[in-house]
Amino acid sequence: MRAESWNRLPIIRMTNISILPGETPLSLEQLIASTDQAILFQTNRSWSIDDKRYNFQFGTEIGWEIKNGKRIRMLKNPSYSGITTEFWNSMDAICSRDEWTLWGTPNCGKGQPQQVMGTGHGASPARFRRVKVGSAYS
Amino acid sequence: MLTRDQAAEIFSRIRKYAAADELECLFYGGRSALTRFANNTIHQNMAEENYGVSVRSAFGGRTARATTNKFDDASLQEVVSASESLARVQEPDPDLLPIPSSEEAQGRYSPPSNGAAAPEGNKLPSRHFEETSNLTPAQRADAVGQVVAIAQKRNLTAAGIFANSETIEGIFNSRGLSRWHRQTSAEVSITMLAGDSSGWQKANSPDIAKLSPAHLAQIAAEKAAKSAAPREIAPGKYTVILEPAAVLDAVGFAFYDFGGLAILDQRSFLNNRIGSKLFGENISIWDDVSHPQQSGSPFDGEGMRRSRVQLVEQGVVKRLVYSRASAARMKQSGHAAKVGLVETTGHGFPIPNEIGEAPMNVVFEPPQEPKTVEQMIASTERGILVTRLWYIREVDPYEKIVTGMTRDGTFLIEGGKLVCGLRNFRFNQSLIEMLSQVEAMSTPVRTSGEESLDMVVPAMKIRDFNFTEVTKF
Repeated sequence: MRAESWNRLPIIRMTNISILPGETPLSLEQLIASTDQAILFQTNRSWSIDDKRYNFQFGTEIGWEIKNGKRIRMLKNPSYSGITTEFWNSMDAICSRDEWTLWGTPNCGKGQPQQVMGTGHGASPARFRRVKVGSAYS
Repeated sequence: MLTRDQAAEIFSRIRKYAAADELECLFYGGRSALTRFANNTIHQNMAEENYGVSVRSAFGGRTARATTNKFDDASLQEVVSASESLARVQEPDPDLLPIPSSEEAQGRYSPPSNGAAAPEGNKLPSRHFEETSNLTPAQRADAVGQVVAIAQKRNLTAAGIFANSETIEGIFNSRGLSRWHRQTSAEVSITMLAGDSSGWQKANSPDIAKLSPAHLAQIAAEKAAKSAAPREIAPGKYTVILEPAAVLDAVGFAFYDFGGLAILDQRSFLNNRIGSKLFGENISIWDDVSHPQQSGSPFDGEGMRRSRVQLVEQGVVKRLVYSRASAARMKQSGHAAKVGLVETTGHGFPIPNEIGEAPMNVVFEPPQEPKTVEQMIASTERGILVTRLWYIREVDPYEKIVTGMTRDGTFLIEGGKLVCGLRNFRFNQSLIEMLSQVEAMSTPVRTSGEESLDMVVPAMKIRDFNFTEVTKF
């Protein structure tokens, strides 16, 4: 429960959710090197999720095609999407603490009257299998 | 309520403490109250009254603001001192203009877009209704009681809000400008929940007499009941009928690009497209604060009169809106010859800001042959009826592709009839293409959503709307 200020009612929201880093030492470069075929997505620029938090879509500013453990080319307008529970169950690797960064959009608005609060979400790079890509421009 | 005379007296005290070359004071605030309900019962009542003054001081090209909601002498001295000390340490802004005089702020009068005669004295019709401002918690509770009774009769669960407010907006400056606006607002939002479906309606008006919570509840309940046991069909390009709330929340993402500074900053999807036919010939759009279904004050963040501006005429983007500073900059820029008429239109935000200006009173022109939603359904062999959209975000700023979900009543149409409810879709849709593929429109109505300012928009029947995924419910 969080309230924006003394004169607002607390509402149920999650402003500071983070994912713990992997315990086994793993850098982003080691993760890439251990991956045969994938897309590396960097820097979210759009996000949307349904009202029961199942279907989501993220667009990112830049992507890189990975083949045989190497970044081989830059990709334009990459996006990925899926169903929340399926997506998180498909994660098979996560980098360790050295790669962990506290990310977060500057703020998030919720409620009526609207309450705006700062947000922060920490994560390390992670690998997900069988994720749908490219819907945003399909 | 803070009155104009009280604000003028506060401004005169602020002037006594001010040493800046120029001074501008924005007054804001009001009384608001809200009754919230969920699980078929009222669970919150809140009421608030607050007023503030935002003091802007300017020394040459340096300017800054400070704000207080305390009007005693010591607090006013403090806010003036804060504003001036902040202004003195700013980098000079080469585009900052002297504050406008009262005469300059009058601007040109533009007649209303609905063809009605100009109101006497060229003033807006009143947007302040005693019945709205005097609405009591008991009256709101009675209305919620009617909503809940409708829900219970159909074995549904109702949630939502019923709110009313009375607000003021004023501006005074050291060149004699003095503008004041007060208005009321009433708002109802109702969600009806069933086991595996839902329905929704929302409305907002300065005049409570124009809202019927019970009528909205009946529609929301009907949608929840009719969309029960939703079927899943494959995503793809479908003919859709978007109800006005769905149109509003989608097209709302386009209008911040209709400002002069957006072109100067090269962040508008209209860069190099003004004067060209971007949308279908059936699309004409105005910004018109004087429209009888619109609301808001008739002046902008510097006190300039809001002009009526035709943004789009038969699919061609005609003009942008401007603050004083953006108009001055545009006239000197390399874009000036290709953006249509450049003049201050009274759409600037309070200074300083990064956005410049935007249309705040968007009105779609009525179609030549308006169709009701029922007529649109009857003319559709296979399509999808969408009640509202949700969590819309921009994917591509130049092609104006936006993504989001359908919500609270999505229906399959076959053979000119609603067949069943559908699981909700994700869309990825260019607004440029969407407004080029409109096959029919209803008469535009004042509409409320969750992502955009209230506008006067029609329902639309659109071909090849791009649904890319389907969710679990």
